[in-house]
Amino acid sequence: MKMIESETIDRTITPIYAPKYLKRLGEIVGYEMTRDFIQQFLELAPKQLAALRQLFDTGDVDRLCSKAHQFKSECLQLGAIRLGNLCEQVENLAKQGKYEVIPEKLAKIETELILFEAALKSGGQL
Amino acid sequence: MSSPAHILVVDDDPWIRRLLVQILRRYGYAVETVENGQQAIDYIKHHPDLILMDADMPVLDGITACQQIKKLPDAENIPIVMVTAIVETQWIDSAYAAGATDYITKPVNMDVLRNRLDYILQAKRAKEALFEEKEKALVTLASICDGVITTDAKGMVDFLNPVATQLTGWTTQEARGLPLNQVFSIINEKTQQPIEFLIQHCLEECEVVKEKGTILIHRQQKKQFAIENSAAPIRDRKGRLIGVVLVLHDVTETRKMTKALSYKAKHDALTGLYNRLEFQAQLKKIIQNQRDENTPHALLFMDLDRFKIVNDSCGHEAGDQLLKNVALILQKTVDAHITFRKATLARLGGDEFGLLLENCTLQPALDIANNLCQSIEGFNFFWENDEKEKSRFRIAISIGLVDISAQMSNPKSIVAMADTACYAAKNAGRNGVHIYQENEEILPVQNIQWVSLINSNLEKDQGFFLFYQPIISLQDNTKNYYEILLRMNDQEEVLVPPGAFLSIASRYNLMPSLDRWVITKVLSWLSEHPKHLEQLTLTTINISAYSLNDPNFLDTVINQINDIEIPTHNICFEIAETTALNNFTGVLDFMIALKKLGCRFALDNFCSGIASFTHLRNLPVDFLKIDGSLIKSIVSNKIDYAMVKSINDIAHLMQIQTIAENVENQATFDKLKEIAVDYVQGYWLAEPMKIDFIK
Repeated sequence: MKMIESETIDRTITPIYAPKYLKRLGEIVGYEMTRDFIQQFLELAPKQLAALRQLFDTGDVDRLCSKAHQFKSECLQLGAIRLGNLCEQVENLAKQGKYEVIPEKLAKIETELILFEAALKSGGQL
Repeated sequence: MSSPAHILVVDDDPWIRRLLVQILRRYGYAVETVENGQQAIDYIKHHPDLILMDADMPVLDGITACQQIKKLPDAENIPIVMVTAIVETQWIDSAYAAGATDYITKPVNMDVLRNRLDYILQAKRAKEALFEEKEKALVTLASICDGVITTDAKGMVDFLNPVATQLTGWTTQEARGLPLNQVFSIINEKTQQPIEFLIQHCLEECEVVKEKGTILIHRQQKKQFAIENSAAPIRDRKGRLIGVVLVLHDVTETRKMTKALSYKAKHDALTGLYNRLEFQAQLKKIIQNQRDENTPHALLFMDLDRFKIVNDSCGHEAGDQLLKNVALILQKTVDAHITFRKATLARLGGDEFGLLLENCTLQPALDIANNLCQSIEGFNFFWENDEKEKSRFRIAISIGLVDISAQMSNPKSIVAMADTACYAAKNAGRNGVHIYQENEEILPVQNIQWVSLINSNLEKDQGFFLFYQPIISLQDNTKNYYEILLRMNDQEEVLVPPGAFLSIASRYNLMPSLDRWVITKVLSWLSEHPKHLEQLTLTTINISAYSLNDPNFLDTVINQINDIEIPTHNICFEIAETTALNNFTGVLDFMIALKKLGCRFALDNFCSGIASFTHLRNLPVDFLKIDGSLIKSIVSNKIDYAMVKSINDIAHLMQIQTIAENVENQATFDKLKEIAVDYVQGYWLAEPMKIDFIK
């Protein structure tokens, strides 16, 4: 229940992404390169998600945690806070053995990815 | 321009790796990447300047890799920054415990990352520079020849360089934390008592402490080093005392050399006894002290008797050995009889020795002197020459003793007094002690110089020269007669006539030595010139009264004549009339003994005394040499003419031939011809010449 509450709060107050990360990244490596990073991320993201699902299905909890942790880092580095938070929730749930909630979180990650890409487009990042 | 810092990015996520590479390159770093901890360990050989390490990775996680890298040689100083999204305390603590330099969480704030990396790399460079400086300082400390020990502010040992380790026997590891005085164990060189180094003074007063004359004891107690040490406080940049640096300068060799030099300056190289300089210094010291304390002292001046015989017959090597043996005997005797007094035994030069007895009254000094005489008298010196011929000598010592009173303030005078007393002892028959009496005439310094010149010349090849003056026969000028005369080389190599040195030689009992020298040289010269010997009729050799008083003289002459095969009737000894009057028996014995060998005799300076014909009748004399003072005046003085004529007549009646001395002009010569003396001699007829010019 707690998780759901916090998720609700996240949904309401947490933006899809924080533009300051991409802005600073653009300043450092240039906007072309930043766009390149974003595109690469978006290309790889479905594969990451598929891997998470597969690991969940096979019950490889350790690797599931690691993969979720890695995906979280990528998301947060681009400012995709909500995506990052969802990945962290998957990682924590797996560690806590609360596997039943994980499929739902993975579905939300999929949705959030679409939202993130849309937000980037509308924000002129793509 | 320095090359960019080399950063290794370790992350299993290719996207993150690519991102970090791009960012870090933009920041000016050279970047390489690997995918896990194991690959990071393998990469260490490329010496990255810094590692950015993800925590959670397959194959080998970042924390374990960090731990292992820190254990690798040369890798412990590589900064490792953990870059991870894990924020749990346990992970953070583990990372730092594994040796991580820092911990940055993802998402990485690139500005924070840049500043952290700059700071860490700067700190690393500073640390490396500091380490390099420390290494340089350590190498410098290891390279210098002095020992260096440092302590902390409490005086506890912190560091020893290799020389300090060598000197003390302590390594830094063994000594660290111990009190300095436990490691730096020293004693006072003079007292040989342990002393404590004044480190507290250095620490408390913050002053430099210097020490000399200390001996450092090695930890194993077997080795000791003479050192000079100085300690200075060490302060930090704010001037606070943080310890002490002690520098040990090993002066063992220097001190040994100084000691050796000091020993050489004070000792005689041949005998090892003190030398004249040190003897004089000691004498001066006790005279100065005596003024305050009024204690009695005694000085013995010792001169070997018959040393020259050893030197002459067996060479200087034997003489040196004899002096060494004598020095040992003297030292032994002195040691055996001096139990509570201080005694300074020295070789003063040649065969002269000195003994200074402090706090010693006359009687014990005399006892010691007599003991010394007995020790030397009882000593037999054996010598074997290169031909394995063995010789045995017995020598003796004459000792002059001075009781040093408080009134005596001049060291030279005291030595001169002892010297005088020593000669008196020699004159009294040698091998004895003569105590200097207050009114005894001191050998004037000039006389001492003459005496020493005569003595040293006797030991040289070119010290004396034989001269000859022809004696001309008025009846038969084909015959070859001459008188042997003596000349001495002075210090400037100028020949000195006999008048200058014979009186000194007579006074200080050197005549027997001179007479022996002349006889030896004449006999050997004659034997070396056989052609001359064939033409020779007579050579006359003067013998002094002093030699006739010497109990060994006759034997020496007999031996010398026996040793050399030359016709003895060619040899004539001249003995002064006064000598015959004063020591008739001695002269008679001498003449009889040598007459038996075939030698002839002339009574010299006849009529300078009382012209006793009675004595003349009782002496086996072959020639009468009429005194020159009488001859000189026969032209002007009728009485003198008559005296010479009557002496000549009486002599002829007694079958004695006459020789007129000091014939200085034609008139005298004519008168002597008229009187019909047998021979004439004088500067007008022939001046004395070196024997080498003899025809």
